[in-house]
Amino acid sequence: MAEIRALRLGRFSRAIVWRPWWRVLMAWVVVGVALAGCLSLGKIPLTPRELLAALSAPLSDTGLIVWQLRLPRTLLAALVGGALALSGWLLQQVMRNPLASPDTLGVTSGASAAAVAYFSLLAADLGHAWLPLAAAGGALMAVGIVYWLAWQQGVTPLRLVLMGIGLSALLTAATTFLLVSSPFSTTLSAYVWLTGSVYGGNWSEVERLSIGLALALVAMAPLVRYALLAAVDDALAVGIGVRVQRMRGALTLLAAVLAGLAVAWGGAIAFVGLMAPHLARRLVPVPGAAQIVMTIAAGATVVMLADLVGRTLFLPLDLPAGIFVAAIGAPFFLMLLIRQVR
Amino acid sequence: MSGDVGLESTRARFWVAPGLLVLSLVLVMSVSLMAGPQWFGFGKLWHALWSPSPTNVDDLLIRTTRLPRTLLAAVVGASLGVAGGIMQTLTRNPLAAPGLLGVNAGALFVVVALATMGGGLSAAVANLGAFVGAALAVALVWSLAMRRGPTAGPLRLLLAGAALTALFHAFSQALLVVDQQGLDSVLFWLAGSVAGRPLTDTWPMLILALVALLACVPWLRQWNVLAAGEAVAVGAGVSVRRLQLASITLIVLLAGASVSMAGNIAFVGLIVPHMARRLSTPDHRHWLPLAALIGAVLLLCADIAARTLIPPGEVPLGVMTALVGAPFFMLLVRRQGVRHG
Repeated sequence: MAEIRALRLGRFSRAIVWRPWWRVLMAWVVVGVALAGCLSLGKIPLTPRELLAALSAPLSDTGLIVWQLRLPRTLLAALVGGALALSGWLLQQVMRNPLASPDTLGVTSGASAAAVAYFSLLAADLGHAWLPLAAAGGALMAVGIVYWLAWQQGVTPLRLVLMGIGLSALLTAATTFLLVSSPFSTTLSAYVWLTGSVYGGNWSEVERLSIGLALALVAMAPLVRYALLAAVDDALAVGIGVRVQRMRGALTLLAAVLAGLAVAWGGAIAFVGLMAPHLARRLVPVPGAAQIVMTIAAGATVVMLADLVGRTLFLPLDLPAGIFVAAIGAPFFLMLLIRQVR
Repeated sequence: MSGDVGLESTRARFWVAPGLLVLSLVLVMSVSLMAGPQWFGFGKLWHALWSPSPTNVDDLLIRTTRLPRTLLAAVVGASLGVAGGIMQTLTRNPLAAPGLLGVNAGALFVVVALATMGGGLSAAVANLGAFVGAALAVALVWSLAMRRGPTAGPLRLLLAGAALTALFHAFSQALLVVDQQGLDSVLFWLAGSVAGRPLTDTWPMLILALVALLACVPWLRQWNVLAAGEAVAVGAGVSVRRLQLASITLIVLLAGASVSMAGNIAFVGLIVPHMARRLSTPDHRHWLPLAALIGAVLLLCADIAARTLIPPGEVPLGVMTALVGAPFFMLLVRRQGVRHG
């Protein structure tokens, strides 16, 4: 089989490198297996045959469990993980730094501050329905402020990251203040949210999140080639004819939207945005569409499995997925730092 | 002649800043003793300090709540200021500070771990835990970010610090979500505060911090040399390894003691050295003592504001300093931003 195939449709043409796509296919098989695992394991474990039976009969007892409880929750975890991973990939590409992620840029802390403010000030009147909107708004606002502060005749990746760290500290302080000053029951529910969980995910949440993500992906499609170019030196990019600042802004905004949406429904799950792109890069070293798809698969798998561990391993406790993502992600991250030093 | 006059005036100016700072320290300390939900006049304060009567409620209030708090804020502020200063010299990075490099988060994580595992949390155990955590975090940051030397750039160090902070926070959060009772007992540490810590709990740490502050004195000259660059320091006959080891030990002692006394107090270690250097010369013998004074004054001011802004409640001290300090950090980045490209 030829290494590279060309796809031509009228004026549209594209070179396709086949090799990485086999690995991507394998990765999605892994995603499928993880999904099946998440659907069949739980308080009432199902054999593969029982799972099939349950899937084909949505109104039976096990069918209800799978269709109404496990499937939406697992899908929510997968969507959240995939979105965070993609956001991390975009940011790492734009910042030219393998350590950039929604967490370091203030996206997560913006969403957290907004969510905790919502918990302690508004939740009593409005219920939890508007929480995702508040969180996503907080994330976008944080990125906007970081970008505005870092702007000095253009934005450099270094200044963006530093401003992100500064704003994160500020927002964390505000979050802490809200946590300390609100009643203890509010503090607890806010704290669980901060750790990140997809507990009680239902179909309407899945629906809304997937619509949001689909829109973001559509917006991303024309920008992908610039994301790939963003890793190139500024001067070179300008020479090729890229409007560097505009592209940087657009890509950062897109990353913020993705992470904001994910955090809005999944809580502040840390480390996925950092870890998944690295896993993907390990498997598909050349930046491109295959790497992006791989990143999404990696993020989805990690969060799904973390949620699975959280709800099965410590029965009857149902622990937030964020704990286990951090438990895998943190050592991974340390390893990454050490390797980067060498 | 005119040269002499110039020298005289620089010498005079040289003493102005420390003099004013000592004066304002005394002033702020007494205000800190007087201010609060109940305001005490100077006469009452004098009476309570020097000839207290065991039955007078006001005397008791001043001596058992305001005095420990004031001492604690002053010593923690001084320690954090000096620790930040040493860190900035050692890493030759103007953005280094214990809080940003994950030291606070590390200390907090160990405290949280101890609190959730052992049921109750005695003061001694918490103090020790904070130390272990601070040392752990410093060791990690150091080995991760500094192995190629300080030329690696400010970003690596800060990212390593931010990452460590995220890591430790994630672990702490995990522990606290599992053991929700523990959350209530460690919220104080998370937010940072000097309130309600009796001297009987904190005196070992107070003394330790003071000793560590004094122990900085013999190294001041060598830090001057180190600030000129590691190669210069080696050429000048400074044993750089030993100096680094001593500096790190001092940082761990100062920052660890601070966290164990007052919890998570951010940004004091970042801001204070900058103010001190601006008010003084680049000579460590001049600005590091100033950093101690400024740190003490600053934290006392923050604490006074924290307990008077929203009566009858209190803003946590760590939140207070972060609200002031984070904008300062961003300003600093903007100033330096052009140079780092």
